Amino acid sequence: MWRPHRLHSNYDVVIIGAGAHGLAAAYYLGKKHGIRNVALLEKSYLGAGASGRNTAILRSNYRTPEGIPFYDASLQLYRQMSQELEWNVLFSRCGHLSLGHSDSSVTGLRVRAENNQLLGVNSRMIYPEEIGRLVPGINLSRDTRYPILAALYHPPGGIIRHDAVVWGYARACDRMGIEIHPFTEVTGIEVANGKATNVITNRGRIGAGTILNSTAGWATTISKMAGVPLPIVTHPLQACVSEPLKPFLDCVIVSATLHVYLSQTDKGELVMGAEIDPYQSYSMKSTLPTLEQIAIYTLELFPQLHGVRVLRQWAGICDMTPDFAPIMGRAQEVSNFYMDVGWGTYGFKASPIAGKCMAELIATGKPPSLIEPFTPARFHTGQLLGEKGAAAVSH
Amino acid sequence: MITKRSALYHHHRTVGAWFVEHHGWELPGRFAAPEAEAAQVLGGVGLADLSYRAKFETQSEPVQSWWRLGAGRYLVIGEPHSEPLAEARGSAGFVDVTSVYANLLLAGPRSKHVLGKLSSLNTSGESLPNLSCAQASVAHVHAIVLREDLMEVPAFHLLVTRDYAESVWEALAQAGEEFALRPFGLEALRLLRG
Repeated sequence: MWRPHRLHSNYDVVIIGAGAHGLAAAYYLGKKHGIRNVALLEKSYLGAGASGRNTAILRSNYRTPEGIPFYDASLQLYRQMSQELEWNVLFSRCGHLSLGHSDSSVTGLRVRAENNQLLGVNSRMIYPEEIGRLVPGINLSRDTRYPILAALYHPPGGIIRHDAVVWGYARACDRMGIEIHPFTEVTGIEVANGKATNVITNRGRIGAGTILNSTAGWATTISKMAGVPLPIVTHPLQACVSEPLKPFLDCVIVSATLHVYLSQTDKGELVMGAEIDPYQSYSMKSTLPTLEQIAIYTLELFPQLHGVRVLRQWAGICDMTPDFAPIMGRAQEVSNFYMDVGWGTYGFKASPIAGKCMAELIATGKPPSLIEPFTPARFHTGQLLGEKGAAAVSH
Repeated sequence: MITKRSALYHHHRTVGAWFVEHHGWELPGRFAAPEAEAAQVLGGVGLADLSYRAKFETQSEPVQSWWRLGAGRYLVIGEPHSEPLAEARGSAGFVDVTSVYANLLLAGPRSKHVLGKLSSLNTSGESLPNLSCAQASVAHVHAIVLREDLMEVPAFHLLVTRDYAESVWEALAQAGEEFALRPFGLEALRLLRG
């Protein structure tokens, strides 16, 4: 799949973090811009971080005029990915339902439906009768604490095999001669006269023409090494998977009110995710209170799942920005230090387009218009984005 | 409405099993004609997936039908909702491990030979008589081995953690090739239990 390499003394581009984002950036640097003297540094195995810990949901039904076209471009790339990489990434476009349980949440969903339609994204409001047809097993009773009043239906959304995405990009990068270095941890970055010069790793020091920080969970740690402060706090997010069940659910169900989202994999396992843990931490340990919360809210939606056993539970760590939107751009403090970070709970679904845009920015020095609003400078100019209402269940 | 699938579901499907629902689990009813499958078990050796069977671990000595796994560690296993299981439920240190273990059944006069190829476990009548249990490595995987003979032919339940179920199943099938091992379904099991 990808070959081991000796660490060389110098690279045109050093990418820190070989998850889906870093790999996608490397892929487009090589494929579109002919920049192939690139090293990807990964402190663990490929896909050990957020790329292998998310719940693999893809969608583009965001809320803002900045977010919607960006995530939609990502979804388009995901649709073509199997052909592009000649590697089956097992994308099943099963559709995506965001449930509304109160007047205010239904209003929020309606805003998204309208904005989506204006920008050409397939989303519409549906009501209990149609929800029942799409998801026959869901509890539509009015006698619950949070009855289901309506849903935002987004047919192009779905789920994908996240490991396949990582492996597909890694294989394609390797074929272009881009070097992937797993188990290579960055311990420092040397900066002189506003320019990063060397990256220090546990395998030695390497010179870098340009550096891209595409880590998740450690975005602040890495940027700080280069003297770049970030307005990011880091929280764990937990998810779990059940034993395999005969297929009964063929779309993604999200409930922001109940802080839970679930889907059924091709193998029959139910993947269930929670909101971010309420405390800041770098811990990737799973906890019982979160598991209990996921179980309680999942049973609100599907009472018939009682008695189903959980096979695995895990945590990933999420870099949360103040406006629930990512940071993509060049650092103001260090002229050759780029960042694709702050992806909170929505990074995986954006990886192909983020990689493509970051590659263009690095190659041309000019940010593509799709990512201009996500510049790190927005925290100085005060032009924050308003994606909080649609970015995650964590609000 | 919710039906569980065994860890071996995809394996069974690739060999063309016919599935039935049994106690809320979707399991192979038959791979071929049940009468032929039963005859193969009685005359040679067969392999079945009985993962639906309820398995409880407890730390207090159960009242009936239990297997001793170690000091203060007992296993109660059987048909879901049967009396011994109902009694064990809720006892001190009780854990429902039904979904933790896949339950493979290796049965037939040749079953000892198949097991002998994959494990150093002594399966002789003196060492592992009917209704006794042991823990051993089977095809490099830790297994709880319960001997429960079927119509006078030796039969071994192998409980292995579900992650390794496919690997153990395939190893057994391969080791059993020289004895014409065939998988059998729940219908053949019914015939064998009489």
